[in-house]
Amino acid sequence: MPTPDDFGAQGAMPTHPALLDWLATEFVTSGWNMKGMHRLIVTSATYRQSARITPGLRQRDPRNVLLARMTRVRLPAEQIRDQALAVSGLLVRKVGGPPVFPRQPEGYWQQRALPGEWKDSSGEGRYRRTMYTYWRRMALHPSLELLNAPARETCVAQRDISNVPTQALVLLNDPIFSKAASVLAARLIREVDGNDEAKLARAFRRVLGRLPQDAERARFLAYVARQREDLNTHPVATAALAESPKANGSVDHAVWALTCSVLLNLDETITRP
Amino acid sequence: MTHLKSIAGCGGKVSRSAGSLPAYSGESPEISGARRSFLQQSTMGFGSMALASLLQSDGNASDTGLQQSHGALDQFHVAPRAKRVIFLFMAGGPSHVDLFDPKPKLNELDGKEIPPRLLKDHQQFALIRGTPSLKGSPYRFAPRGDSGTVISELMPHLATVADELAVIRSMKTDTNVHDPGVNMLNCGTQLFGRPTLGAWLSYGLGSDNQDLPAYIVLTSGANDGQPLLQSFWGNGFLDSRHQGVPFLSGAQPVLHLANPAGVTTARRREQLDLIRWMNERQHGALGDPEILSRVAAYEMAFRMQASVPELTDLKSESKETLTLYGADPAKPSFANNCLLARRLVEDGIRFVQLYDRGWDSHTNIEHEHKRQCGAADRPIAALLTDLKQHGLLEDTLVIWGGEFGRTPVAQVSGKTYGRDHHPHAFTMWLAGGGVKRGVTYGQTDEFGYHVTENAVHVRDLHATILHLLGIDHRRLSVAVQGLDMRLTGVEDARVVRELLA
Repeated sequence: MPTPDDFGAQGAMPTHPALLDWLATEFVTSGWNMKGMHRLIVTSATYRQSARITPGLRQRDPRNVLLARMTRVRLPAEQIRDQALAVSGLLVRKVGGPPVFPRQPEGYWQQRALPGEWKDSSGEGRYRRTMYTYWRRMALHPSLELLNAPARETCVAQRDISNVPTQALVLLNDPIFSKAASVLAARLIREVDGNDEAKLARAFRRVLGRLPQDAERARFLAYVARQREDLNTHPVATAALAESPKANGSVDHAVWALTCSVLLNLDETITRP
Repeated sequence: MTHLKSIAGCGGKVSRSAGSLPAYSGESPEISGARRSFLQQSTMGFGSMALASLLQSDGNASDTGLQQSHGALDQFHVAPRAKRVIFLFMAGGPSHVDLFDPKPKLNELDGKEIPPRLLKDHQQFALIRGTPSLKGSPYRFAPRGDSGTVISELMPHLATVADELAVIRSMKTDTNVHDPGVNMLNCGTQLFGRPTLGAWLSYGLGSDNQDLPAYIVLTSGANDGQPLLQSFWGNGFLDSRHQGVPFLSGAQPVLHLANPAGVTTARRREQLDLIRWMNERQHGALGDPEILSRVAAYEMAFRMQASVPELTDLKSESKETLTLYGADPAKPSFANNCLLARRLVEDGIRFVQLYDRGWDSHTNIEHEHKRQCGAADRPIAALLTDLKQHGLLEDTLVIWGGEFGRTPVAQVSGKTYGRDHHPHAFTMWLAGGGVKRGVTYGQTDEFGYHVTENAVHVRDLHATILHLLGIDHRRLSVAVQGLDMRLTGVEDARVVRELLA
């Protein structure tokens, strides 16, 4: 059903009406068992297909209407930020409470000529799940807006997801993402008693949920070595990269902060599956 | 004929020679030698081939002015008269009978029931129920400039540049519903999921500025207006690097341009090289074109870090210019967007689209249209004047209009009235590159209800716009699922030659 927000005259017809009927009757027969339906769907052969797009599939069904493969989905804005917070260990898992005001670019709120002010949260308010971020329709937190969170002027059942350079700038340069990279780096140094290879393996596991393949390992270790060589002769940059006091501004920390930022920016990181 | 840059074609070779998926999520990272060599080939060989085409660092088009811009077209179909477009989209639908199409008869019969013959054979009003009354325009119209182009008193500044305009009073579209109507004007169809005009131009003609996106979107206006959807600047079935890139309104249209402390340009470049290497590899495994678009987006972001700060610094404009537009760099406005639009086309941006919200005046149109015109009139006139002063108007096409007009009948709302959506006849205007100056084209009946002469369907407008940009609308097409898709679809569309200079 390509138009989940419109089941009316202007909505699209379901692509698999018989399947939809069957699922509906299953749902009723199961006693309206939501979890059971989720299990039924996510364990189905269709749901567990590879996301690989062969040229033939791309030509015959570019939008995957017929579900011959898994649809790749870029994570929603909130999950991209939550994920970065979670893998670095910054995430505060507290539930409920009043909204929080994670940092946004200076002057952004004032430019929108809105009453009140955006006062950046301090303490744990900086690292709560993104769903707790204060929501103002006329001035959504800009990083959320850029990553396609709707303003909630109207109900949105399915988000439009774009793929544009202004989003790359968020993931590369928004302080919350560089902070996450820095904290993850400190964590690798603190927790992994081993060489670069062991740290890299841990970083991959945390961010991508898998180990590096051989070629990846070689490429990343070469990158790490190259950055270490560079930063050894640039103490100022090294100190600037040491956002986390626990890391003592070591060259190692700076090197891994740069590397973790790379990992947080990968297509694989922000795309499901 | 045009062709897709052959990403799909390259992908074909890889997938046919590839076995199953590389193990991307397993605990064991070991892969066989054969697979490894496939991966190496695919990332080094295929990936870079596809990327060369995607990032278009290899200009090889013929010498017709397109070799630098890396579009899908090898050559222009007709001599281009315009190189770039500024589309001033008055979202919600401005009222033609209050702005450009005076109707004395309508004023005379103000308050009388609409003649039933007008209502024959067409779709119902969007919101009005029952039989509404005719509603004249309270505004004075006058011929302006040497051309005598008629503009109402709501747009006094535009009146001063009336001789630049080609006013089309006979526009027609297929729907009186907002979003499908916006789709019509952008994509030539009411359906969602098709490329917009800006995406088609980015695809067909490429970009004259490799350091900025070819299609940039600026928004302004009433926040309680009809919402703007991503699809209004969508790429449809074209690669997503052709989609419009929305800038934020305000003094910082693009955020996070500065690297984190300690990350020099050289260090960032090395990070990006690694990101790109990983993403190309991922593309080799999954074949999803979105991954290559993401690579392109990251590369563009890198270049924008250098190109954007100066570009968007409106404070560098002279006081005279700021006054001309009525722009205040510190406050988001349509005026700022018009000024930024000039700076963008000056830098060779192919397609700049300004969405101004708040024209959907169902209630109290007198107040709302005054508000909208009050914010838009001066900057639009300033834009035309400024483009001319910069020598840009001769090859920049400016388009003004909304997704439909508004009804000549009143939508009564308490003590005030508004006008409903009206798709059967409405006004748009063109100015600049290759367009006749100071002409008014087409006619509507004595109420401004139906077109009576020289109808210009949205498809005809699209054909004309493409023609001005050097493109035969029948020949800019992309094969999708067995159809050669194009902006003007399969129905007839005519280039309105009477509008061409």
